Amino acid sequence: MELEEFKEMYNSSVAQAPVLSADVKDIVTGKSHGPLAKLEKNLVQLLYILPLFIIAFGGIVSLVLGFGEMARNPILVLVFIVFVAEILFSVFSYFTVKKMQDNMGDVKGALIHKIATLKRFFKWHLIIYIGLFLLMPLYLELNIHFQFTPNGVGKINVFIRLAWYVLIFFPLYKIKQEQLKQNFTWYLDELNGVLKQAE
Amino acid sequence: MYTDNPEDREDLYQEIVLQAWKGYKNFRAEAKFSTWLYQVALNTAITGFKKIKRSPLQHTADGDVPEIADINDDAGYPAQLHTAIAQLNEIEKAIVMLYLDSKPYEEMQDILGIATGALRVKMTRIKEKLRTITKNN
Repeated sequence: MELEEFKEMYNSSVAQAPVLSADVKDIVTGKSHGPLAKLEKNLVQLLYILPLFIIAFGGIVSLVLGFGEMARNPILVLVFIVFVAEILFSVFSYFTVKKMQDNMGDVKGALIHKIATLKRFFKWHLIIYIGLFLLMPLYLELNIHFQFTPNGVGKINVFIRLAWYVLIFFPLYKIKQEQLKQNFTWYLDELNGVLKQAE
Repeated sequence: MYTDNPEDREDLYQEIVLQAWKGYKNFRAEAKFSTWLYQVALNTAITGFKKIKRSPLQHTADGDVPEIADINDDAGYPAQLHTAIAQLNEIEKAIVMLYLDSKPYEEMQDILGIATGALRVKMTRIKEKLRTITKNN
């Protein structure tokens, strides 16, 4: 059967919308079930959990060590910086996901817009995290240089310290990359695939 | 066209209704309402909806999988061509859908953002592709 015949058949039949089991009022007041809506929900949860976790962690540590000691410990300061960066990154991700849920405009234009938004997001992610993972060892080294570190870390050979930084911060960076891949890269690949079909 | 079973079809329909409702405040009567609605529907189907993987072929009561050519879909269309359309990519499916709804190429261009010349070329290729798929089946 040719497409033309199929079209005649299609047009002569009565087109029917699927019978909905849900009320339209319930649908429009409900939540979206798309992949981005799910991601948005996860990010909102994270934005509630992370600050609570930081407060709880800070509270416990300051109870054990005392607030002054906690503030002087560069490792703990770095842990807090990582948590705060994680919150900021989640806020950034949340707004990116929000922006990408806009389904307006022609199909190809919407694809280009979504791909550009995601690429910008990846670029900033890379800049922020590479910067952060370079600044953290620098911060530790400055602490050692000005002898702020309390536990004799400065006595460890500088090359061993550098190896430690690589061993700690590189896997952290890789974990972030993997997280990004699981949440966004598959979607970018999918969008690029569809855009290629539209070219 | 973008789903292969009634459950997914209903989910997609609900998602489109929701997206149209949410996006209506941005509708600026520059284009026809139907054009805008097609844009929302296709954008949702192509990029904003994740299909739950269910088997498109259901087993019969005696455990056999029916032959594709024997089945007519729930709208009563010949399954062979419907199955062939299901094998097209996302954009090709959108073009076929708009063609079946008798949309002129100019409106297709507004909906899809693909120039009319390219759409005509794609349409010819789609017809050839469907012919090949149905022949092979």
